[in-house]
Amino acid sequence: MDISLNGGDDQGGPVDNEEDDDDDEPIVVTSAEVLQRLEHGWMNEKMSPELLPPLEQEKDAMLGQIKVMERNVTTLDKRDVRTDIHKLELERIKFVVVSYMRTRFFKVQRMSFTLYEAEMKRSRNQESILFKEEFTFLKNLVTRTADYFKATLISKMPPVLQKFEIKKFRVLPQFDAFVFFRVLQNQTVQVEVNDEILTIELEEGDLHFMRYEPIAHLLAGGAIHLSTLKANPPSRHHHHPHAANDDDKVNALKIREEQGALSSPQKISHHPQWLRKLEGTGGECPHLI
Amino acid sequence: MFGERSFELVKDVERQMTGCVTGVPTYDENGVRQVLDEMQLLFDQNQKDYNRIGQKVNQNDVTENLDVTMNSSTSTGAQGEAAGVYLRHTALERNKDCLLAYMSTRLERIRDLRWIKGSVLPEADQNNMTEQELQYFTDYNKILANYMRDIGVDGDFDGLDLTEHMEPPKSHMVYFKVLKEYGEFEPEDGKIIVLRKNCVHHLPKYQCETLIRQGVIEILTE
Repeated sequence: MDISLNGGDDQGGPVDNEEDDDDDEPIVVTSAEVLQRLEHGWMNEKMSPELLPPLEQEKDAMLGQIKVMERNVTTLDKRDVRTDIHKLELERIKFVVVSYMRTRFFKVQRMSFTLYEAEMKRSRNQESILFKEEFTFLKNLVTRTADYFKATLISKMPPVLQKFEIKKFRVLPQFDAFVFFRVLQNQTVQVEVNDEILTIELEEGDLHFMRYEPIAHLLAGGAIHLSTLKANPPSRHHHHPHAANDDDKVNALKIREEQGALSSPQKISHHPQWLRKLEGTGGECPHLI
Repeated sequence: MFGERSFELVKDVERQMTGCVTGVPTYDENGVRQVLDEMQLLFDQNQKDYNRIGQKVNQNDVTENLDVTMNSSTSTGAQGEAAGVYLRHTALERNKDCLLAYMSTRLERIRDLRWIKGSVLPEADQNNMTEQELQYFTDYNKILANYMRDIGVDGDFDGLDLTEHMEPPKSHMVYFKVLKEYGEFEPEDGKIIVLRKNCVHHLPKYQCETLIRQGVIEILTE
């Protein structure tokens, strides 16, 4: 069910996506492609125990696109059956963006002091792992939380202990967590099992279940993407037959929207159980002990 | 034994948190004070002992120079005292850790409540929180609101409410039944509706999510 959101081919028009490619030229991609990248990024973010680099351009482009679509949808005839379908599709896209940001939000919140420390130590030529607005939030949260502990506890302790030690608040990602992932390019990976080093062949299209740590670099390099057990096997999809470079190859692997991408990996049920279900590494909700 | 009371606190808070997933347990003021008292006691005792050894080693910081003290002091008495100081200092550190764990677990839950119950907490929860915790909640609320308003501002987009769209949408509009008297509710289109008990309304799903979490309404169909 591929619905063009704006009712015609023209409104899904190209979005300028200034991405630093080898040739240093901005690549023009369609909004469908942007959505797809965002969907993959969202799945990766949801399933990975650590915070991944932000999809700056994809997020901004998609938010802009949502705005356009929201405007368009109001001009549609309310009695037309398709109007409701357009609206639903818009809801789904919004869900992906919101869920992506929320997933990141809870990771930032949970690992706030760790991320803040890292951000302070980051050298100027290193890319930040946070969106700009996330960093502002992080700074405010860390400051406020530290103040809270100083005021309520630390100032009441004997003098030698009146130090706010950031190391006591460190929360590290669970690199040992197991993840499902789909292989996009043939690879080999070395995994340590019971003190033995095994070399595992990863073939394109395979679905594997493995500890996160040994495959983290493959994820960063775009050779795999994290998935759920349910996500359908990759299939070439029809939006852009001109898929040529590696970036496009990633896009060419489409999780069908109907099932894979839009049903979140961990199904949320109604309050209050949804809270419990979302515990865990990639959880997108308040974290419980 | 040292640190026993603080460990109790940590065990308590864990039990309470698993026992009740959607509220804050009562703040154990007594427990926290007892631990702080114990810390003061340990510290005073350490000061005394330290001063006794102190004549031999002229240092201020107890911890960093203990090893030196242990090795350099020739009299067995001083060595015994140094060991005592060391032990008590470890107990102090442990008490600090436990208190921090206790408080930050509560803080985590307080932040979660913002997501479960919205920006205004029910009285039952408020009564279980300290003055500073309430203040923290208010400030967290502000920080979060600022953040959500900031999302996408650079790209000419005015914010994204992350507390909406909690579930993947199955249908755009839903029918829901009102479970308790609520009063006026203003959906995005601006047409105010009055939520009376047992009434059925029809609205876009994402606009109902807060009401569902507050237990005001119940979805009838998807």
